[in-house]
Amino acid sequence: MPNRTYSYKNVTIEYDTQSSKLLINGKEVHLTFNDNKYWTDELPYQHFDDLEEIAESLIDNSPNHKNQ
Amino acid sequence: MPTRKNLNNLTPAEKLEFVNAVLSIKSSGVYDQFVLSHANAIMSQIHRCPAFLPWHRQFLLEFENALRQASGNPDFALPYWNWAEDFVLPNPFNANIWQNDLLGGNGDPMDSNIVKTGPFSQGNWTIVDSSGSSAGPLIRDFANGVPTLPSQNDIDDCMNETVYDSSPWNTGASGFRNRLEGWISSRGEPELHNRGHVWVGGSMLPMTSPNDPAFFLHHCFVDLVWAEWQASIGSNNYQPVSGGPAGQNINDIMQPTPNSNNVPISDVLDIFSLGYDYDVLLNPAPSPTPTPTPTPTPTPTPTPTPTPTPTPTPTPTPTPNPGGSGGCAPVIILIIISTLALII
Repeated sequence: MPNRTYSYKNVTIEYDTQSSKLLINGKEVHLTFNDNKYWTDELPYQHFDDLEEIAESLIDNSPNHKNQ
Repeated sequence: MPTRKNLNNLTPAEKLEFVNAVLSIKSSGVYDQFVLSHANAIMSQIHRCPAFLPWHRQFLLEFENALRQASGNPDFALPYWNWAEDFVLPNPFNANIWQNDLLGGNGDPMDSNIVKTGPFSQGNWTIVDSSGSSAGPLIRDFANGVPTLPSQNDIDDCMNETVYDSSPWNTGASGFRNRLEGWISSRGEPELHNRGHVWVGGSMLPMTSPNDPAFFLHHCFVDLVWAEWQASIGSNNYQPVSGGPAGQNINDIMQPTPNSNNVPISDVLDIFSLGYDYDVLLNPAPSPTPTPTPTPTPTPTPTPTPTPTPTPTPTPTPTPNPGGSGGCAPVIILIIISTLALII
């Protein structure tokens, strides 16, 4: 599935831009793709240009994705 | 009637009362119920939709009530953070809100942006994830997501909107709600409400954003801008009345808040009937006797008090209208005309 897998701050990020799928340490982040932007309810105040930006923001800032 | 004040006008005793009340409800577990309520609400029912403003108004009311109980002061009111005032400061990082006697400052960029100053610093404050588990210290990362706070011009753009909301009732809608929420942008960036969250960054970014007490001061100002717009245009202007998405029509029940699960949108459209006011709003309700502003008296609280380090606080240039919208002008003109008519 993923077209890129990499590690950020020791957390594994997998994503597939074709299917707009994002996994953080194997846990799927629910996304929508609209108007060429990605949206996730987990970061409800902005939209994003790419999936890496969402993943890294979640790892940096969301308590749900810390210390996994 | 409790009056919500600009945090720049709080006395040292009022700041201490706010901080102590927040720490008190944190230690009792009440605070985290607000984090969980926000994080576990259906996001599309409280953001990116018409109920965004009514739901957060109810949420703030319940938070304010919890702080009022904790403080023991029946006149306790939430302060608000007028970010447009801080927009013009040479360094908004040093604004009153971020001093050690209120919310403390930015996170430490050398240590994962952990907040290490003020009453909500590492060791004094632990955030929770959306299941309620402890998840480390508070994080702030000022001006990383967007370079500036929202400005007075941004607020003025909101006040010029003439309808509350419109189909398709989401981020693509035109109208006051979508502009104030922050999805209408000519520069492709989060604006107004969204911009405030993104400017603070860190714990203010995810759906658990009430983990940062800044959430409530920020949303209190968003509520003030809405109240000013309502005063300028008439409060019975909520849309959709009917035919909108479920949970968004004026008589629909909103998503649950910590203390209620059956509040219709129509119940929260008038702040005066909800029993509070803002220092910059003109209360249209008839007042039999003029009430002088009482001198706030510090109320000792039974909870352990933090020891905020007193720091010199910058004083922003006072503006004639802290709310800044000019939304009260029509009401004042009406009152003058009515008075003249009575005299004649």
